[in-house]
Amino acid sequence: MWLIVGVLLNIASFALCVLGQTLAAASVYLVSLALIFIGRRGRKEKREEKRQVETRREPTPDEIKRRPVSAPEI
Amino acid sequence: MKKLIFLSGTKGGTGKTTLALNSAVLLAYLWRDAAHYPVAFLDLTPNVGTAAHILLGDPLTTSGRPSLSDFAGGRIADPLRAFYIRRWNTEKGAFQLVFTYMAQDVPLTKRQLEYAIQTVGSRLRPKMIFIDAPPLSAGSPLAGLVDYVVPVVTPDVSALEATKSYVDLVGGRRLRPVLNMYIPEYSISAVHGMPWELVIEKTLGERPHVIPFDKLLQAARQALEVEVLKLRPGESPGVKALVEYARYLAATVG
Repeated sequence: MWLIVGVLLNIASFALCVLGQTLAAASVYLVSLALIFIGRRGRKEKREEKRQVETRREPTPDEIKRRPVSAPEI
Repeated sequence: MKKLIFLSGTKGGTGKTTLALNSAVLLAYLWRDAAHYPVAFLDLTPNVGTAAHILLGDPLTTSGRPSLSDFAGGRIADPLRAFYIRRWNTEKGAFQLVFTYMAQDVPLTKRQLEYAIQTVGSRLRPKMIFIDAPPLSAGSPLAGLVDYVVPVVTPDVSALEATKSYVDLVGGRRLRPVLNMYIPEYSISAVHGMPWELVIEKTLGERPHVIPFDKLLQAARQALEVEVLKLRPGESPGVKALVEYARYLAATVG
């Protein structure tokens, strides 16, 4: 979400620059950079979470077979 | 030496073998320093039962080796020749289980079974003998031979009725029943209109020990492995419940 808004603002800043509003374009450009940065960080976190969920999946019979015997916790 | 059986009457697929094998392995580990052969395991299922498959590791190893069905058929005189040792090495030391199985479908008489149990008891001196038998019929040779009986039921009416009818057949002291493969989302019996735990308490006279349905137990069974040796209680609620029941057995009959 933040990434999309950031990209849109980035495009808008270039449009403002073309229209001659250099000061406004610069400030919009800086805001867009900040939003793009936040958006990318959020995406990375989500990807990592997904990877963790994938690694937490249940072991298959084959994986259980290959596990070494461990002392029972009794 | 105490003799214990997990029983579901004529009902199969209730988890008797899982309970018997895992409890036997857990107590063999727990008592590893108390006796040389702390636990003996008798798999009386004809044509090599699941527990025997797991203990043997490879079904091909049965060929040419004497089993309890050879003793039943009169091909060997000493039943001890049909017993084998399964040994495990763990990070906390080694332990072993003595076991036997039926390679063929040969009827075992009560007298033969009694003699085999007596021989194991006098020569190997185990603290406990676990008997894993197929679904029982009225003429079971086990009648009057066991000291303890554990009723095992699943949350279904037929399992409960079959167990209720046959639980007194084998005799022995009745221990805390086990409600196996329990799904908490389906806790109410539609037939009785009350929670399964209460239904079992009313039918069998004691609140059951609950073992939840656990996919990991199924996966370990597919791998032909002893669940408690390959899965941790932290990752498998089924293994956690099995360990708790083995602790209860150790405290009650050990």
